[in-house]
Amino acid sequence: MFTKPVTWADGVRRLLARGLLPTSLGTDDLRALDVGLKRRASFSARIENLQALQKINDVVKELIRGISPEDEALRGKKPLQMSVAEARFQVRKTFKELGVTVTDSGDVGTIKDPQSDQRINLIVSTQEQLAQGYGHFIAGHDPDILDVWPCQELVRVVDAEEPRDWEARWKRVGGQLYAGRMIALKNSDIWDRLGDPAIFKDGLGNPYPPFAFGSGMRVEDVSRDEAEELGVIARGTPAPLARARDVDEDAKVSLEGFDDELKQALLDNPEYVLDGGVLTLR
Amino acid sequence: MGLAIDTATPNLDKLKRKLAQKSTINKLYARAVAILFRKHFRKLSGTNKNRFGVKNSFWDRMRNSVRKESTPTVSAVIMDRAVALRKFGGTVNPTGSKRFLTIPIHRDAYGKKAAEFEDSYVITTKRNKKFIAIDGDDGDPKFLYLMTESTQHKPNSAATPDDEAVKAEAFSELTTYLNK
Repeated sequence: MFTKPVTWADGVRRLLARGLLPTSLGTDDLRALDVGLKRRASFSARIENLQALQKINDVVKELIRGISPEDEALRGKKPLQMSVAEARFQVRKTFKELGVTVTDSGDVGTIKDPQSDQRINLIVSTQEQLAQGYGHFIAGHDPDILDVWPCQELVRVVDAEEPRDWEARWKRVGGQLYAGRMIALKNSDIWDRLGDPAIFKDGLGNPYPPFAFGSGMRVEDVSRDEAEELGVIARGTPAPLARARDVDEDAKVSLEGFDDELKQALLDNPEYVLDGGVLTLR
Repeated sequence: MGLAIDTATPNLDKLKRKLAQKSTINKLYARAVAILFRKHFRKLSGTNKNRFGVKNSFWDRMRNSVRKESTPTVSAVIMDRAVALRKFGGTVNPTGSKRFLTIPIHRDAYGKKAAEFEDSYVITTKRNKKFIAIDGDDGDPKFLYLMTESTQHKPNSAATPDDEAVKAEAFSELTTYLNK
């Protein structure tokens, strides 16, 4: 264990120096994830300006990538890592320069205003959490990890001013409580339904947190021993099968709440397809 | 005539095979410790408020940043470097050509860069303290940031799980895996 701070350069000599993505992802996978993240940013931010979307993507990548040896070499000359404040500043600056704003002046300063604090915070934090959530999802589906930690629990990490009733949502999607805890196998489709915008309007369409916009709910591994003790799985149950997942699978949203002009603009986009009232990436 | 059935050797062989899988052992060890850190940061998140009494997402972000890394020879947990400042303490200085850090002293400034306030200006007091301010609604300056050449942070060992807890958790999960 480290008993004093280890510089990144030291860490790199001793550890695998990858970003926040699982080390099992190769270069091609990382490139695909980059493209996927841009498309998702486009999708969930509901903004069509490609340059604005590219800025969101670039900023989120900087936020989550960790510190490289090149960063260490420039220690003192520039910040080692992008701060959240800097991320928000860059996104807002780009939106201003590109004229990304509301058409209705009554919406200025509200969540509908792309330049508002609320909106910028939501975009940056949601995209950062989604990227990390995807990485953790993939890491959690390693076969060895699944054998020792086959289940996960839905837990609250950040308090909300107006918390949603997650226990009611859990039961609605078929989840059971074990000693009052919301636990299921990692590969259960309960997790898909929990974030499904066809079921919950604020759903983000992915089987990993955040399941909904502005949600403080996350997941935590539950060990085989604990899962057996609680009765989630029977003793000796084989490890669940790992799920592969392309990040684009999770980009879907209900069109309810979109104005007609935006709906049409999205439907005209050959990258999107409408299926049962839910828009998803083709 | 007696019959001795050797039940130990098959179990020992199984144990030896598992122990030889160093990649797996290190992976599981790292994962167990990563889980412990995430649980610890979740507890801290529940009580975390900034100086303005507003709950913030710092420990959630730190929790999300925790990941494992492992090879056949190394097992590690990596997280955002901001945790290190909390745990070990230290001095923060401005970088590049900047001479000052800007410390938010008003709720409106929290989470924002000073550059976001286009009409801001610097006020220097008689005691030579510098602030960044904007005109308030009442015409008086609204002080947003204190400008300082550096900040000192005290170490806080409670920022991460203690070493004994880490060892106990890791060995517990490894034992489960080896006993299977």
